Amino acid sequence: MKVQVESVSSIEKRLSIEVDAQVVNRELTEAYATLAQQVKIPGFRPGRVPRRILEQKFKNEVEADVVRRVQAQATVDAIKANDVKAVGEPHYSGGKLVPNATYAFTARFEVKPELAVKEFKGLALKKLDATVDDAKVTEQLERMRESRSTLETVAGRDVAKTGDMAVIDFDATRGGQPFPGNTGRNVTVEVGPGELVEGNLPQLDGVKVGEAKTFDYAFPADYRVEEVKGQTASFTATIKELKERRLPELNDEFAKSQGADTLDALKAKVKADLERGAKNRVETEAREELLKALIEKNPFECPSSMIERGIDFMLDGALQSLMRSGVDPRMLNLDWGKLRGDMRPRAEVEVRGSMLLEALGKAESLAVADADLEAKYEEIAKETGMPAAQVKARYAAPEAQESLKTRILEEKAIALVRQHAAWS
Amino acid sequence: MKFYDVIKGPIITEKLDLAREKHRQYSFVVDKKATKHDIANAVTSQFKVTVTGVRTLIMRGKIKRVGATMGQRSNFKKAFVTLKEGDKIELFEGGAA
Repeated sequence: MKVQVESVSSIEKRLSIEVDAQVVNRELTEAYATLAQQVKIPGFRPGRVPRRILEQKFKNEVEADVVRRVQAQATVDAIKANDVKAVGEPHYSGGKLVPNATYAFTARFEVKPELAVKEFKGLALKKLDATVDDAKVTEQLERMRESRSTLETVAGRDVAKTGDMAVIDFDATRGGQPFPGNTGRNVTVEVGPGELVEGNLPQLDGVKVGEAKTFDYAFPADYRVEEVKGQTASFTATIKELKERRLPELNDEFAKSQGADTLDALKAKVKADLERGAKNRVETEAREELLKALIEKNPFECPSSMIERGIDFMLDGALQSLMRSGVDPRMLNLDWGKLRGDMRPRAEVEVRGSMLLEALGKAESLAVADADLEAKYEEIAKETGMPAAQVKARYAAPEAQESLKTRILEEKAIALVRQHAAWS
Repeated sequence: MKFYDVIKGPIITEKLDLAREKHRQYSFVVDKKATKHDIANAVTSQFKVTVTGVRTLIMRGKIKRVGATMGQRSNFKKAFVTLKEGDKIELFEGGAA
């Protein structure tokens, strides 16, 4: 086998490969031998069909098949022998296969570019704030109260006012004619600003219980009921009962219903949750910002197949988290092409960034020591609440360990970039 | 009788493949009324080879039953044609329909 390596560009290489006639013949013989076992030809016992006859009938198929096999095999060998860092599928070009002759073809594929990170010092980075103030905690507590709110009948007042929930009966006509969904009995609506189609009826403000009010309502142009969208209908609504939303008291009892012992404990818990979320978000953002800055300073050509793979990876992650939360992605009718397009920019940042970080790690001769691994195990153990020994067992497999090491290296490279960054 | 009426098709089987290799014998389904001379002439003109011998036989059609009725497949004439040493018919060399 003769191989010639040419660089088309920094991310593309072309291998010109010549496969020996001997190999070609061996592959052909093998292919026909297998075929003879499989086909049935009248006049011949299975497996006894001479190659001449098979050739006459299946020549094109067999040779196309052998070409594919020879190409793939030879390319893999050539890549190994020449230490080419190939990514993605090769594109082949080559002529027809001829028995008893060498077979020449070229394989073109993308390679991981040799990167040198020239500028990583003095990147302009913004410090992001991950602190949670009490106002946010209070806000969150309010939301929790609201989700626990109960509806209670209003006592001592029989005139509806904004903020009340009203149980009503309604009839509506459009130009004197009924339309689909034009009546309702015992429907609960909110008295307050908003749209009728969303259950908000500002028109009921000031109406007494037992009284009817007639008003006109114009349906939105994009309403889902075909017959009435964009049209005006006349509604007559009668209030049967008034209710108001009552929020639970913010006390220890409420805290217990939320799974904490005291109100203070609940506050602390909410704060911790919010802080964790904020920290995660900030970290992700900061990482993305850093990667973007790094990419901007160090432009390079990136093989598209690597980016595609990055997209695959992200899609996979997204689908898995969907599945974990009990949604079947097949039911969602996703537009894969669009989804991939949406993910591309982020995937590109991720792929390019991690390539740069890797190169940086190499250039600065960062290494992962055993102590680093141990520290990482501890960290993961703390995050997930698993015992450290169990975490360690989980990463015992070579591939898992390797990916963890890559992660640590990346973190180290990020730390290095941060150290030299110009913070603002 | 024209030569293209005589030869109806080749017969290619494992056994005849051996006969072809060893004895340069080729086999055809031929018209039932074709004589050995007809067959020799037809093979000569169609494949541009020299014929040194022809042997023929009538193959009896198999008796087949479809439900209650018995039927018979058509008889046909089979011919073995021997060629001069060195001659060959391409059709058989590479197999055929």
